[in-house]
Amino acid sequence: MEIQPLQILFQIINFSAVLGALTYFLYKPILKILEERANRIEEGQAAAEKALIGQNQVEDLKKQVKHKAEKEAAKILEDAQTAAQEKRSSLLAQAKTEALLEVERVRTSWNEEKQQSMQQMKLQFTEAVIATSEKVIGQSLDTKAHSKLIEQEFEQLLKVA
Amino acid sequence: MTKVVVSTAIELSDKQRSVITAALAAKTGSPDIAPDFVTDPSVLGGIKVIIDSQELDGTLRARLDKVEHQLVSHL
Repeated sequence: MEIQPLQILFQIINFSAVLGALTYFLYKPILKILEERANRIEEGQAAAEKALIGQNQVEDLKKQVKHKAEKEAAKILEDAQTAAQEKRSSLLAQAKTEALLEVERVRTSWNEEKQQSMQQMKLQFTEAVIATSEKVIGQSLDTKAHSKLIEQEFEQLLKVA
Repeated sequence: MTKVVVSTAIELSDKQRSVITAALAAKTGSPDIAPDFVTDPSVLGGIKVIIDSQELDGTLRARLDKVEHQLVSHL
Protein backbone atom coordinates (compact mmCIF):
# COMPACT_ATOMS: atom_id res chain seq x y z
CA MET A 1 0.00 0.00 0.00
CA GLU A 2 1.37 3.37 -1.02
CA ILE A 3 1.21 6.42 1.12
CA GLN A 4 -0.14 9.36 -0.72
CA PRO A 5 0.81 12.52 1.09
CA LEU A 6 -1.51 14.66 -0.91
CA GLN A 7 -4.45 12.51 0.05
CA ILE A 8 -3.39 12.59 3.68
CA LEU A 9 -3.12 16.32 3.53
CA PHE A 10 -6.50 16.49 1.91
CA GLN A 11 -7.91 14.20 4.61
CA ILE A 12 -6.37 16.39 7.28
CA ILE A 13 -7.78 19.53 5.73
CA ASN A 14 -11.15 17.82 5.31
CA PHE A 15 -11.17 16.54 8.89
CA SER A 16 -10.13 19.97 10.15
CA ALA A 17 -12.88 21.56 8.16
CA VAL A 18 -15.45 19.13 9.50
CA LEU A 19 -14.07 19.54 13.01
CA GLY A 20 -14.18 23.31 12.68
CA ALA A 21 -17.69 23.23 11.31
CA LEU A 22 -18.85 20.88 14.03
CA THR A 23 -17.19 23.00 16.65
CA TYR A 24 -18.69 26.17 15.31
CA PHE A 25 -22.16 24.97 14.43
CA LEU A 26 -22.76 22.24 17.00
CA TYR A 27 -20.39 22.18 19.93
CA LYS A 28 -20.47 25.84 20.78
CA PRO A 29 -24.29 26.25 20.58
CA ILE A 30 -24.77 23.12 22.64
CA LEU A 31 -22.20 24.35 25.12
CA LYS A 32 -23.95 27.69 25.19
CA ILE A 33 -27.32 26.04 25.73
CA LEU A 34 -25.88 23.93 28.52
CA GLU A 35 -24.37 26.99 30.16
CA GLU A 36 -27.64 28.88 29.90
CA ARG A 37 -29.49 25.93 31.36
CA ALA A 38 -26.98 25.68 34.17
CA ASN A 39 -27.37 29.38 34.78
CA ARG A 40 -31.17 29.07 34.86
CA ILE A 41 -30.93 26.18 37.30
CA GLU A 42 -28.59 28.15 39.49
CA GLU A 43 -30.89 31.13 39.32
CA GLY A 44 -33.84 28.91 40.13
CA GLN A 45 -32.01 27.42 43.05
CA ALA A 46 -31.02 30.85 44.25
CA ALA A 47 -34.58 32.09 43.89
CA ALA A 48 -35.85 29.01 45.69
CA GLU A 49 -33.35 29.50 48.46
CA LYS A 50 -34.26 33.14 48.63
CA ALA A 51 -37.94 32.27 48.71
CA LEU A 52 -37.26 29.70 51.39
CA ILE A 53 -35.36 32.25 53.45
CA GLY A 54 -38.19 34.74 52.88
CA GLN A 55 -40.72 32.14 53.93
CA ASN A 56 -38.71 31.37 57.04
CA GLN A 57 -38.48 35.07 57.79
CA VAL A 58 -42.23 35.37 57.28
CA GLU A 59 -42.78 32.40 59.58
CA ASP A 60 -40.50 33.96 62.18
CA LEU A 61 -42.30 37.26 61.81
CA LYS A 62 -45.66 35.54 62.12
CA LYS A 63 -44.44 33.79 65.26
CA GLN A 64 -43.18 37.06 66.67
CA VAL A 65 -46.44 38.83 65.85
CA LYS A 66 -48.45 35.95 67.29
CA HIS A 67 -46.31 35.89 70.42
CA LYS A 68 -46.62 39.63 70.79
CA ALA A 69 -50.38 39.47 70.24
CA GLU A 70 -50.69 36.66 72.78
CA LYS A 71 -48.61 38.65 75.25
CA GLU A 72 -50.72 41.76 74.71
CA ALA A 73 -53.91 39.71 74.97
CA ALA A 74 -52.68 38.20 78.24
CA LYS A 75 -51.81 41.66 79.50
CA ILE A 76 -55.23 43.00 78.49
CA LEU A 77 -56.91 40.01 80.14
CA GLU A 78 -54.88 40.48 83.30
CA ASP A 79 -55.66 44.20 83.36
CA ALA A 80 -59.33 43.48 82.78
CA GLN A 81 -59.34 40.90 85.58
CA THR A 82 -57.59 43.33 87.91
CA ALA A 83 -60.00 46.11 87.00
CA ALA A 84 -62.96 43.76 87.43
CA GLN A 85 -61.66 42.67 90.83
CA GLU A 86 -61.19 46.28 91.91
CA LYS A 87 -64.65 47.18 90.61
CA ARG A 88 -66.12 44.16 92.41
CA SER A 89 -64.42 45.14 95.65
CA SER A 90 -65.55 48.73 95.22
CA LEU A 91 -69.14 47.69 94.51
CA LEU A 92 -69.13 45.30 97.45
CA ALA A 93 -67.82 47.99 99.76
CA GLN A 94 -70.37 50.46 98.44
CA ALA A 95 -73.20 47.95 98.80
CA LYS A 96 -72.05 47.13 102.32
CA THR A 97 -71.94 50.81 103.26
CA GLU A 98 -75.38 51.42 101.75
CA ALA A 99 -76.77 48.38 103.52
CA LEU A 100 -75.36 49.56 106.84
CA LEU A 101 -76.80 53.02 106.25
CA GLU A 102 -80.17 51.51 105.37
CA VAL A 103 -80.11 49.34 108.48
CA GLU A 104 -79.21 52.37 110.57
CA ARG A 105 -81.95 54.42 108.90
CA VAL A 106 -84.54 51.71 109.50
CA ARG A 107 -83.35 51.29 113.08
CA THR A 108 -83.54 55.04 113.70
CA SER A 109 -86.95 55.23 112.08
CA TRP A 110 -88.14 52.26 114.12
CA ASN A 111 -86.81 53.83 117.33
CA GLU A 112 -88.48 57.14 116.51
CA GLU A 113 -91.78 55.37 115.77
CA LYS A 114 -91.40 53.37 118.97
CA GLN A 115 -90.69 56.51 120.95
CA GLN A 116 -93.63 58.30 119.36
CA SER A 117 -95.88 55.34 120.13
CA MET A 118 -94.67 55.24 123.72
CA GLN A 119 -95.20 58.99 124.06
CA GLN A 120 -98.64 58.68 122.51
CA MET A 121 -99.47 55.85 124.88
CA LYS A 122 -98.29 57.87 127.89
CA LEU A 123 -100.29 60.86 126.71
CA GLN A 124 -103.37 58.72 126.28
CA PHE A 125 -102.77 57.20 129.69
CA THR A 126 -102.45 60.67 131.24
CA GLU A 127 -105.64 61.81 129.55
CA ALA A 128 -107.39 58.69 130.78
CA VAL A 129 -106.14 59.29 134.32
CA ILE A 130 -107.32 62.89 134.24
CA ALA A 131 -110.69 61.95 132.77
CA THR A 132 -111.14 59.23 135.37
CA SER A 133 -110.15 61.63 138.13
CA GLU A 134 -112.73 64.14 136.91
CA LYS A 135 -115.45 61.49 136.98
CA VAL A 136 -114.42 60.23 140.41
CA ILE A 137 -114.28 63.76 141.81
CA GLY A 138 -117.63 64.67 140.26
CA GLN A 139 -119.28 61.59 141.73
CA SER A 140 -117.64 61.64 145.15
CA LEU A 141 -118.13 65.27 146.17
CA ASP A 142 -121.50 66.13 147.73
CA THR A 143 -122.65 69.64 148.57
CA LYS A 144 -121.14 69.52 152.01
CA ALA A 145 -117.76 68.41 150.71
CA HIS A 146 -117.93 71.06 148.02
CA SER A 147 -118.65 73.76 150.57
CA LYS A 148 -115.82 72.63 152.81
CA LEU A 149 -113.41 72.53 149.89
CA ILE A 150 -114.50 76.00 148.78
CA GLU A 151 -113.89 77.39 152.24
CA GLN A 152 -110.45 75.80 152.52
CA GLU A 153 -109.36 76.92 149.11
CA PHE A 154 -110.71 80.43 149.63
CA GLU A 155 -108.71 80.75 152.83
CA GLN A 156 -105.60 79.60 151.01
CA LEU A 157 -106.22 82.08 148.20
CA LEU A 158 -106.56 84.95 150.63
CA LYS A 159 -103.26 83.98 152.23
CA VAL A 160 -101.48 83.81 148.93
CA ALA A 161 -103.03 86.94 147.39
CA MET B 1 -114.63 100.02 140.49
CA THR B 2 -112.91 96.71 141.04
CA LYS B 3 -114.40 93.88 138.96
CA VAL B 4 -114.51 90.55 140.75
CA VAL B 5 -115.69 87.18 139.44
CA VAL B 6 -116.04 84.15 141.73
CA SER B 7 -116.40 80.72 140.08
CA THR B 8 -117.44 77.53 141.89
CA ALA B 9 -118.72 74.10 140.83
CA ILE B 10 -121.91 74.41 142.88
CA GLU B 11 -124.13 77.35 143.56
CA LEU B 12 -123.12 79.16 146.76
CA SER B 13 -125.53 79.93 149.53
CA ASP B 14 -126.24 83.52 150.48
CA LYS B 15 -124.24 83.08 153.63
CA GLN B 16 -121.26 81.79 151.70
CA ARG B 17 -121.58 84.69 149.25
CA SER B 18 -121.65 87.19 152.12
CA VAL B 19 -118.59 85.72 153.76
CA ILE B 20 -116.67 85.68 150.50
CA THR B 21 -117.73 89.23 149.61
CA ALA B 22 -116.70 90.53 153.02
CA ALA B 23 -113.35 88.80 152.84
CA LEU B 24 -112.66 90.13 149.37
CA ALA B 25 -113.69 93.64 150.39
CA ALA B 26 -111.26 93.52 153.27
CA LYS B 27 -108.53 92.09 151.07
CA THR B 28 -108.92 94.60 148.24
CA GLY B 29 -109.75 97.55 150.49
CA SER B 30 -112.95 98.22 148.51
CA PRO B 31 -116.01 98.09 150.82
CA ASP B 32 -118.50 98.41 147.94
CA ILE B 33 -117.18 95.44 146.06
CA ALA B 34 -119.86 93.36 144.27
CA PRO B 35 -118.53 90.04 142.99
CA ASP B 36 -120.21 88.15 140.17
CA PHE B 37 -120.83 84.60 141.41
CA VAL B 38 -120.65 82.08 138.57
CA THR B 39 -121.55 78.41 138.79
CA ASP B 40 -119.20 76.44 136.54
CA PRO B 41 -119.23 72.60 136.94
CA SER B 42 -116.09 72.34 134.84
CA VAL B 43 -113.99 73.62 137.77
CA LEU B 44 -114.94 70.33 139.50
CA GLY B 45 -114.47 71.73 142.99
CA GLY B 46 -112.90 74.52 145.01
CA ILE B 47 -113.05 78.18 144.06
CA LYS B 48 -111.57 80.58 141.52
CA VAL B 49 -111.47 84.33 142.08
CA ILE B 50 -110.62 86.87 139.37
CA ILE B 51 -109.92 90.38 140.65
CA ASP B 52 -109.52 92.65 137.61
CA SER B 53 -106.62 90.95 135.80
CA GLN B 54 -105.44 88.91 138.78
CA GLU B 55 -106.59 85.29 138.88
CA LEU B 56 -106.56 83.24 142.08
CA ASP B 57 -107.32 79.65 141.14
CA GLY B 58 -107.99 77.15 143.91
CA THR B 59 -110.11 74.73 141.87
CA LEU B 60 -109.64 71.00 141.44
CA ARG B 61 -109.64 71.68 137.72
CA ALA B 62 -106.49 73.80 138.15
CA ARG B 63 -104.83 71.08 140.22
CA LEU B 64 -105.68 68.41 137.68
CA ASP B 65 -104.41 70.66 134.89
CA LYS B 66 -101.18 71.11 136.82
CA VAL B 67 -100.81 67.36 137.34
CA GLU B 68 -101.58 66.72 133.67
CA HIS B 69 -99.07 69.35 132.61
CA GLN B 70 -96.36 67.80 134.80
CA LEU B 71 -97.09 64.31 133.48
CA VAL B 72 -97.06 65.43 129.87
CA SER B 73 -93.90 67.47 130.31
CA HIS B 74 -92.09 64.37 131.59
CA LEU B 75 -93.02 62.25 128.56
